Amino acid sequence: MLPVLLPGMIGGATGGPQGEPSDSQLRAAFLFRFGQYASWPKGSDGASATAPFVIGVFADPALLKEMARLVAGRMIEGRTVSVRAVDQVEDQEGLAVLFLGTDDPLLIGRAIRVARARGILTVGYTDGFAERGGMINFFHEDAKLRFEVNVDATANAGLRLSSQLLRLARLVKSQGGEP
Amino acid sequence: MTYRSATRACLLLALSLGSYARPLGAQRATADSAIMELSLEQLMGVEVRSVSRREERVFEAPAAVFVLTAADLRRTGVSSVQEALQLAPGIQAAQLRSSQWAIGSRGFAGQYANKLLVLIDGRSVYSRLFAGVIWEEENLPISEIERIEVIRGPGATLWGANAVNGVINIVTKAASATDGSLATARYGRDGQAEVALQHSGSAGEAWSYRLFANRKAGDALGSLAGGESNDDWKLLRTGVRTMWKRAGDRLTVSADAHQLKYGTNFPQARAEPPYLFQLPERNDFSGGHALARWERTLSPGSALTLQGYLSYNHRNAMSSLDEKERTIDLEVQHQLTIAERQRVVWGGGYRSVDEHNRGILDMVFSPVRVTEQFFNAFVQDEIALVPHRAFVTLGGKLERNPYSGWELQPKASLSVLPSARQTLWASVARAVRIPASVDRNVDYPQAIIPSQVGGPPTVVALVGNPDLGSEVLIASEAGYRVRPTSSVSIDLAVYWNHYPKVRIFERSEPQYVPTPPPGVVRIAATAQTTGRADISGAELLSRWEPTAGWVLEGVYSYLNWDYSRTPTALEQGADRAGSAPRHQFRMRSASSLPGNIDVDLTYRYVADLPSFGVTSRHAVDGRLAWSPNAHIEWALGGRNMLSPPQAEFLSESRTIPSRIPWSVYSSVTVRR
Repeated sequence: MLPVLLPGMIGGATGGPQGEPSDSQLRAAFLFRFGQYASWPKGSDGASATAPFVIGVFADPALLKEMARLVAGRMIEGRTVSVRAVDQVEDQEGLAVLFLGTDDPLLIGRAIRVARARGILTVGYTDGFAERGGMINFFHEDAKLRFEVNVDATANAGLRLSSQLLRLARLVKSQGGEP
Repeated sequence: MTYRSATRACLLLALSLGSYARPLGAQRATADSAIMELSLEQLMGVEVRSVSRREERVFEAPAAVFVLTAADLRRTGVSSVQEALQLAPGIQAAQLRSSQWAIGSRGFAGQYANKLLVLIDGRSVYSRLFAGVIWEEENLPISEIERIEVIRGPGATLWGANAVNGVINIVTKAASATDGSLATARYGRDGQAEVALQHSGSAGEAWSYRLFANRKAGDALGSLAGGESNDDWKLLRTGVRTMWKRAGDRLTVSADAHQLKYGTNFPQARAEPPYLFQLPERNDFSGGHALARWERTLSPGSALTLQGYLSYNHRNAMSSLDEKERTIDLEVQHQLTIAERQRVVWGGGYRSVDEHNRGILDMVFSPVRVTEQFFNAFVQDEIALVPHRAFVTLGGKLERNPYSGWELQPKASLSVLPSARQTLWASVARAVRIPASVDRNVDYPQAIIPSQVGGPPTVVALVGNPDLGSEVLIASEAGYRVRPTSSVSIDLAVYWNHYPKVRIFERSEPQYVPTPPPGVVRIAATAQTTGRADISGAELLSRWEPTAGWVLEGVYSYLNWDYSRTPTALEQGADRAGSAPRHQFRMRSASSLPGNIDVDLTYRYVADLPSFGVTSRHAVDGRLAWSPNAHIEWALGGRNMLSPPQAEFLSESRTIPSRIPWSVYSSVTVRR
């Protein structure tokens, strides 16, 4: 059954138009823009004037690949952006932004707690991420990517998101205070 | 095809795909870095190459829904969907033998639970012959699964007949959702072993694919009656998934093939002791499917889905039956949002099932060949009475089957959200279970009773009824969900399932049949829908996160069953009160410790099953896992700990169950 199916489908691939970005590429572009529209609390790595601006990616190899290709080496506030893989959620040394590609609520909870203390912008991609105290969460609406923002969570960590960004976001509240 | 050659074939396939991929990669558009020049606002307007499913947030759903995520499946260390279902509220999942399970929702569990519909990626795996799911065959590798949606209560409005007391939706990972390669090996004390391989990649911008190969096996467990249980098994499954995306379009094509070889004991009625002889036999089941789904976004708020699949199964049980089953299914579905106030889903479908059932020793099917056609049309409209606060959902499915003709299965539900932290919902629905070959065309001797006075023996036979109508359920449900704080959530559902028509087997008057000499006295137990049942119950699910990285979850399910059947009805195993536990309770603790160590513990309690003489059972499952980096995970786990080996259920097929033992297992997963 398989050999019959595959060649025909591959044939179709060459004919298809290109140019639509993948989900990972789009998220990479969004993450870069988030970096431009946020300001970090004094003393946090996000607010440093000299060190590179580091975006960490946990548990999303596809996004990591696109980030390295599209985002690494660009500039935010005169600082070079670098991207690194995060293998353990607590390993947030030097980060300005942490993307969490997991749906495991326990890992998300731990990551958020550490990130809040360090003043790191947390971004997720799973239902309920923002309600749990994550700062920005991607979700799909029709064929477009949208994001929601938990304003309390960002404020509690000392971060500020510009009104241009908030205008485009769906705003959510933590469910019953901070974890 | 041996395991080794299957794996090699998969790798070859992967390599050939890779070689196709290269020229595509070369023409990779430079356009993709152009996305970096877009402003935030412009990014909001970019269409992703994926059409979103309409993601119902579980918290607001007007139904009793429970979702097991990939993270839950990984953490609990379950080796199969069947094991995972032991964690769901309102579901009874009992292991019969090494590979066989009896699973039901809100009563009527059985080896072939005929009122529970199971779908894998929208493809029904409910057998039209047995009326139920052959779980031993649908044993998917856990690494393929994205989530398992467990919906208690009728789902007939969307999914059609046989989704009477529950629907289980197994959703596998999209081809675009996996990356790189994965290998898992697992071995357990009970002789359960598994190897799973997965390789994903993309070809150019628009294409992604995944190949998988999986081999699972289990040893014989030992019969409850002592001696050989003859239930060792070997399952090989291999498959491919591809996805092609472009603006507003998404095409998914998947195919898999499997082969299952396992032992069973075929219960054969005999005129001399033992009157019910367990005839050991070897089963050889093989089959596969191919599915294509095209999703198109027509405009914001409007999406069209077309899906078709073909599946073929050949099930050969040495001494009982040889079955060939071919299914063709086509479905279309259109979702649209009207004026921000209404969300409509409507569509229709066609299914044709061709069956060839040849009984071997005592089982007789007539006709041997059956071709069935089903047509359906459905509509569901969710209307916001008060935006974000109150919704009413009205829907119905009109379905034509060859037996009872047109069946209407309507549902009405209401959900009220007094605040973002509370949902109240209620619903009422009608659902039907339409007859299958086993209800219509079978003739199978259940018992042979020798005469005490030297006359001919008496044969009691189960006899299908070609005029059998549908079983009917009228279901009323209500529920309440609340999140008092961010770390606590409570989900309560109560239900009353009224079955005005339930299938039973009515005994006829004894008749003397002279041929072949010396003749027999025959009692036919014919399928009729004259039974009645009322099942009511409640399910409570609560979650608490005492600290970040630690979750406690408690599930309690209560069920009360009133059943009435005529005095002349045959006692049929799972179709009666006392085959479902009155109480089920589970506590789960999941914690993730620094250093990437996961510790999971589950305690399960299932009350006794009086009609089977099965005692209550306590079980503890645990798992300890360590992942030093993103590439490797070691795990050590145990299942059914602290409980003596015992039977969990009795099958309506009257096969003697195995003693389900405790087990320890170890597994390693490598990702690249």
